[in-house]
Amino acid sequence: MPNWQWFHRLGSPKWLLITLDRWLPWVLGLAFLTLLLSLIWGLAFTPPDYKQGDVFRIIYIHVPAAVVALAAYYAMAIAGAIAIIWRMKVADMALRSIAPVGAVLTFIALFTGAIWGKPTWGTYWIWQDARLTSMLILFFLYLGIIALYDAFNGSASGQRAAAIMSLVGTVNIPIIYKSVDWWSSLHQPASIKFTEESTIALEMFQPLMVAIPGFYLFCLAAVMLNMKVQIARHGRNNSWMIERAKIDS
Amino acid sequence: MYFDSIQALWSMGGHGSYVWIAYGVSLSIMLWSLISPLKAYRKQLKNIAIYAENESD
Repeated sequence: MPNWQWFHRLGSPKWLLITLDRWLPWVLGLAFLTLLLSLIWGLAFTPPDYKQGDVFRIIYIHVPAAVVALAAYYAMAIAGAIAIIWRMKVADMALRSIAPVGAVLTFIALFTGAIWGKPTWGTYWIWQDARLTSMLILFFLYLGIIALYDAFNGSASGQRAAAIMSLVGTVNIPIIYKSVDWWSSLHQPASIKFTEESTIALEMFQPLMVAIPGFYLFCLAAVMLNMKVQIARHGRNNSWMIERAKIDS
Repeated sequence: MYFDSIQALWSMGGHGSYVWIAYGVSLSIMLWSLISPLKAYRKQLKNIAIYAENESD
C-alpha cells in the first residue's frame, strides 16, 4: 500500500510551518550562491555577442525570469486545481503565495526585454508582437488572481474565484511558448532546444544553465516566505500559532 | 575577466546603462520580494501575540 502520510502532513499548516523554517535557510543560501555565480559569470566572464555586443548580457536575467514565470504559473494552476477538487486549504495558500512571485518574475522579463529591445530593435515595446502581448497578459493574470483573492479578504468565494481564474489562464501559457513560431515577431525564436541542437554558443550557454536553476531557487524561497505569511494569516486563532507567536515575538 | 578594466566593464562598449539598469532594477525587485514577506510575517506574529495577551486579560 502506498504511503500517503506525506500528503496528509502537507495539509497540516503546523507541520508545514516547521518544515518551511527548516528548509528556508538552505534554499535562500543556495539561491544566493547560484545567482551570484551565474550573474558575475555572465556579466564579466563571457565573450560578447558578435552582433549585439555586450547588451546581450541581459539574457542572464531575461531568459531565466521568463522561464520561471511560466513554470510558476503551471505550479499555481495545479495548486488551484487541488484547491477546487479537494478543497485543500494549503493549496489555496500556495496559490496566493505563488502569484506575487510570478508577477515579479513576469515584470522582470518584460522590463529587461524592453531595455534589451531599445538598442537591438530600436524600440522598447511594440503592441503588434504576439510574444510581448501574451507575456503582458500573463502579468495581468497574476495581478488579477492576487486582486480576486484579496478582494474577498481571502474568504472561500475569493479563493474559489482566484483558483478558477488560474485554471482558465493556463490557456495563455502554450500561446506564449508558440507565439514566436505562429506569428511573425520581433522576438527571436528559442535558442535553447530540447529536441534538436541549440543555437547558442557553449560559452554563453553555460552561465545561463546556472542562472535558470538560480531563478528557480529564488522563486522557491520567495514562495516559501509568502507561504509563512499565509499560514500565520489563516491560523491566527489556532492555539499552536498563538503559542508560537508568543515565543517568537 | 573579459574586459580590460573596471571602466570597460562599467561602460560595456556603450551599452553599460542598458545592462546595469536591467540588472540593478531586477535584483532590487527580487530582494524586495524576499524582504517584504519576512517583514509581513514578523508583523503578523507580533499582532497575534498582542491580540492573545489582550484576550487573556
